[in-house]
Parts: sequence; C-alpha cells; structure tokens
Amino acid sequence: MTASEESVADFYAPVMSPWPSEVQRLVVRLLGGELKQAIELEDAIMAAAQATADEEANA
Amino acid sequence: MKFLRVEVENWRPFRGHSSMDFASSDGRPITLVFGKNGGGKTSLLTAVYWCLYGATDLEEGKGDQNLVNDHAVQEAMATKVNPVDAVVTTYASRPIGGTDFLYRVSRRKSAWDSGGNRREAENGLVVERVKPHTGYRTGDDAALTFVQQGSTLEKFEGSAAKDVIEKLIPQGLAKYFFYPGETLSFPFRNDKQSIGLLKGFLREISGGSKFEPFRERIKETKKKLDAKSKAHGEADRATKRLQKSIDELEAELAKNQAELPKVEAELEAADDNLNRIVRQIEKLDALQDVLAAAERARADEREAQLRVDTAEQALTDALGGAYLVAATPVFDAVVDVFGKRKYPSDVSSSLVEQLRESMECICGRELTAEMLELLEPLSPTDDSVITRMMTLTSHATSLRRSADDRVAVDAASVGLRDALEAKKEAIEARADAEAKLTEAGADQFEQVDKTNLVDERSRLDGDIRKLSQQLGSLKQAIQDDKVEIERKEAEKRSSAPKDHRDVHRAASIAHQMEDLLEAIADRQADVARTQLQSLINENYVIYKNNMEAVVDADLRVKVLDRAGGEEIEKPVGDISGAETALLTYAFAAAAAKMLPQYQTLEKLLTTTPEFAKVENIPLVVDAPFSNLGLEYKRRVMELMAKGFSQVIMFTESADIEILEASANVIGAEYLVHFEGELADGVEQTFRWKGETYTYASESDGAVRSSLERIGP
Repeated sequence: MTASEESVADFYAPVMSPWPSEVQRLVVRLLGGELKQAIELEDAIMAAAQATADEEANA
Repeated sequence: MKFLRVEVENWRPFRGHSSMDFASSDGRPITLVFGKNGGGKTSLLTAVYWCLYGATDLEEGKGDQNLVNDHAVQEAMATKVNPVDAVVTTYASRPIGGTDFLYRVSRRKSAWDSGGNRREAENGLVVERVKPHTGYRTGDDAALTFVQQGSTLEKFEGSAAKDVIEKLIPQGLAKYFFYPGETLSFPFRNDKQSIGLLKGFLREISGGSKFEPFRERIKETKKKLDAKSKAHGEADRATKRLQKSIDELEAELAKNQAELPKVEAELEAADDNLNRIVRQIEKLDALQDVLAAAERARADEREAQLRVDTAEQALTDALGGAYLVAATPVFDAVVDVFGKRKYPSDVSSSLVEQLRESMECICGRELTAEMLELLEPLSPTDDSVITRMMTLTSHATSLRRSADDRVAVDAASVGLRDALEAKKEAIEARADAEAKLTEAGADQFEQVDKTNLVDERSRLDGDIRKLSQQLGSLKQAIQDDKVEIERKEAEKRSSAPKDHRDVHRAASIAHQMEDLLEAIADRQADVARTQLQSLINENYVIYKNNMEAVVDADLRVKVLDRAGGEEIEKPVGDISGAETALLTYAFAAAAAKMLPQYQTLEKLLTTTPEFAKVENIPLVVDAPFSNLGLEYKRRVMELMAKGFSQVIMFTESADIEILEASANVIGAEYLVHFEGELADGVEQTFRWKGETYTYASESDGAVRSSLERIGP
C-alpha cells in the first residue's frame, strides 16, 4: 500500500471493518488514486473476484 | 487564505477602474464597506464571488447578464468601439507549509453591440500563483503588478484555473461564507431548502462531495458488471439447456448403440436361417432328379415284374396245355391217395421228392406244398400208395417230356428267362437309384415340404429387409446423434463463459464497494453533524444568554429560551429575523471552526495535499446587523473579530456607533460613492470618526459608483 492508501485505510478503518477484505482493499485502492480509470477499476474488481474464487477453490 | 484586494473595471455600476484592499492582519481582520443600498455594495460583494466562480447566483433574482457597466457599453455602442470588457481581479494569499503564496484571479466579460442589441459573454479566466509571495506594486493604470524577485510564477487558464480556485476555496463551501443581504436567514428556516443547505454543508465539510466522482465510477463499473453478470447468467442458462439437450442425446445414443448389436445379431440369425433354407431348397431341387430317376427305376422294375408275370403265365399256359391231357389221372391218383389217407410211413425221401417235383409241375409249387403238408401224416409204407406214387411219378415224368408241348414250353421258358433277366436288370437299376437317393440324403427330406420352405424363405426375406432397414436407421440415428452432440458441444464451448462465477462475484463486489463508499460518506457526514450541532450551540449562546440553539439529528433547529427560569422551546416561526441572523453567524462561525478539520478525501489522497488543505475562508456579509439591538451588535462584532480570520462587511451608516466602538478590530474602511438616482431621492450624509461623508450628487438616470478609502 502507498502512504496515501495507508492513510485512507487507517482513517476509515472503523467504518470499513464490516465489509469483506477484498471490498475494503479495492475501495482503499480506488480512494488512494491507484485505480484511476473506470476500466482499471473494472479489471481490478474482476481480478479480486478471480482471486477470491481461486482461494475458495484451493481451500 | 485571505483576500488581499479586489479590482473592478466596468463592473456593474463601477465605471472605469476601482480597487479595494482588504484588511488582512490578524488583529484587525475586518474590512468595512459603507454604502447606501442601491449604490453598489452588493455588486462589490458579488464581484469577488463572480471572479472566483463565474456565477452571481448568490443574489436572488439576478442572473449573469448585464455585468458590464451600462455607461461603458452605451459609450462603446455610440462610438462603435466594440467590445467593452468588465474585468474583476481578486488577489488572495495563502500560507502553505510556512510559505506564503500569492494568487491573482482575473475574470473577464465582454459586451458588444449586435445589431442594436447588447450581448455579453464571458471571455477568459486566468489564475496566477506566485511562490513565495514577494508583494506587488501599483502600476501606471492603478492595477497591481507582481513583484517577482526570486519567486516562481505559475499561470493557469481554463479548467486548470478552475482547479486552482477550487483548492483555494471550494465553491461548495464558499456559499456558506458569502451572505448577500437577503440570505442571512437561509440556513435556519427548518424547511426543506434550509435542511438541504445544511446537509449540503455537511457533505462538503466532510468531503462527501469528493466521493461523487468515486461513486460515479463505481456506479458505472457496477452497471457494466451487472450487465456482464446478466449476460453470463443468460449464457449459463443457455449452456445448461445445451447440456441438458446433450445429455438427452447421449442417452439416446447409448440406447441406440445398445440396440445396434441386438439388431445386428437378429439380422445375422435371420441371414443364417435364410442361407440354410436356401441351401435346403437347392438340395431339394437337386434331389428332384434323383427321386425321379428312382421313381423311373421302380416303375421299370414294376414293368419287368409284369413282364415276368406275363412270361410265367405264358409258361404256365404252355405247361398247362400239355398237362391238361395227362393231368387228370395224376389228380385222380393224388385225390385217391390223399383221400384214402393211406400214406406209407417209410416212403423214401427221394420218392417224395420225385412226387413233389411232379406235383409241382402239375399243381404248382404252392398247391404241392399244401398237399405235401397234407400228406405228411400219412404212412408211406403202404405198398399201394408207393405203387401209386410210382405210377404218378412215371406219369408226371412222361407228362413233362411230352413232345407236343415242349416247343411252347421252351418258348415260354425262354420268354420267362428273358423276362427274369430283364427283371434282374430292373432290380439292379432300381437298387442303384435307391442307393443314389440314400447318398443324396433323401431320407432327410422325407418329411420336408418344399412349399413351407419357400414360404419360410420369403418370410425371412421380409424379415431381413425390415431388419436391414432398422439397422440402417439405427446407424443413421447414431451418426446423427454424434454429429448433433458434437455441434452442441461446440456451441457450448463457444458460448459458455469460463469465468461467469467471477463475473457474478465481481458484480457483487462492485455493489458492496458502492455501499462501503456510501457508508464512509455517511459516517463522515455524521461526524461533521455532531461537531456542527455542538459548535452552533456554543456560538449561539455567546450571542444571547439564556437562549440555546439545538440542532437535532434531522438538522432541524430548536431555540430554547431559559430566560423565565424554565426551558421554553421557541418555534422557528417565532424567531425574529435578528435572532435568525444570529443563528446564521453561529453556523458560519461553527463552519469556520470546522474548516481546519476539513477532512476531504482529496486532502488525504491528493498528490498536492498542501493545496487541498482549507484552513479558513473569509466571511463576506451584507447588512450584518439587520435590526439587532445594540448589545447584540456589539457581540456580533466580537464574534466577527474572534471567530473568523477575515471579515468583509458591507453596511449602511446606521451601524456607525457600534462600528466606531469596535474600531480597534477594523483594518480597512471604504465608502462607496455613487452618482445617480436614489430610491428615496434624498441626499445622504453620515459622520464617521468625526468626518462627514455625502452619498449622492447629480442624477443622470444611471448609478455611477466609485470607491474611496476612508480609513484606517
């Protein structure tokens, strides 16, 4: 995480906690400015979904 | 940040160039602008706002048109010197990280004559930023120029300029610090609009509006993913339908494949049967000749027998003719002998043999055997019998040798011999034919009916045709099934999305992201609301003892009056305009206090966080005192001095006493001069710090305003 992402994550930690970690991570990345374009956001969401599916498949 | 200066040129009533330097020192934050209503005070207030945001909608009922000074436009139209521009330039300073930045924002509007009609259009926004702020000096045309020694000058235009202004004072927040005369009561009417304004403030102050672009992006992405998810869902269902159809086809294929060997076996069996029947029929056909030959041989034999019989008859007849003459005495003797039944017991066998032969000649073999049988019990010792038999024998011998009959007998004998020979041949031929029949297996066909065989063959032919057709159909069906399965498999492969599960999940993640963003924004607004509630109350109590303003969770304001010793809630409708103005100041002061904690995402996340930090915004207020009592006016002045880093106050002369009393916090005093029609048509004068000032002079139908600095 970048410094700005860390600050976002810290700042919003109390309100983020009920959400799944991949949703939290994506929101932090979005707010942290890493996901600048809508298409990057879509790709990132797809990748997160894929990763979670893989984790479940491996578990 | 603080405003340093505003310059107006041909701006509304201000013909030509006017400028005003704002008080900006910490101890004297207030700039006072005196002026009669209708003389141009509000035009100055909105000049700053318009310069920053290109809008004048702070003033109710006044649009963006006719911003260029009427006199200038008329003169330009008369002299055909078009266009003429209104220009407002605002200077501001802002400390960032220990360094002072100087901003100059300049916005221009052009007016021109279009076929006798006046037209106006905005014509450029320029922002310049100097770091560090090294000051400016007055140029020849009274406009300022930057002193740039050792400074970096950056220039921004268009959307870049707007971005810089937005970081200097976000427009969403600015409206909570700019109060033209009619708007002082606007946040606290407890109506939908007021509550909406307060909510808007909370959204702004908590950075909520900064979430909008993120929310928009999430929304857009969510929409795409939802559409994808829907499409994948449809593709899934189509794949399932295809799979079901493939399963059915495979079941049918398996059934047909299982059926195939059965039909093949049936066909093979029927084929074997047919072959057997055909072979049997062929054998039967081949046997026909042998059977016919055997039949012919049997017929030949029967014919030969007939011929033998005929020859024997002929011989008998021949013999019969000869015997007939001599047979009578023999028969008589035999009858006699037999009749007497005196048969010598010791007749020699040779004698009996001789007799037998003779009798045979006469009576034939059968009759002789019968007679001899009859003779058997007789005694042959009787001499007479012997004698008689001797005689008989002698007669018989003579009979046989009868010359007359001999030719016929010989001829018949030859005939009989030939017939016997022919019969012998016929018997051989018949035996031969019967041997052939045996060889041909005729015995096996004894019970076989060829008609049945032929019927069986045609039945089998029919069966085989049917079975062959069935087999062909079965093979075709199997082939068709295989082709159809392959086609559907290919369709399934091409249409089935590989990652549909992930797409559904992704869509769900996007929904949750939106919810989370919403929750973050809500949480921020909620924190801000709590802060605002407490700060409004705190500031309101400063103004009026025994009265408390309470802002509830729905952002409705209640005023509680404890003056009478008990707490009475005053309905908003019962709150006076002055009290509402106090509430507005309390709100503005609360807002100013909240600014340092202005936590926006941009502040957290921007690449230039130093520019995102909004520490203070000057309060710009028209007619601040309304009809407040003296005590309140004093308190308002105290709050202005303490609660805000900079206050620009536009007021009428009516407030002179209180303002004079607060002179120690006033850093700049201006008087708006104007010429033209006054609403009441009365010339106004007022005294300020011992001087007398006059408002209006000649009347020429249109107001001409100008600014004079009168202190300090």
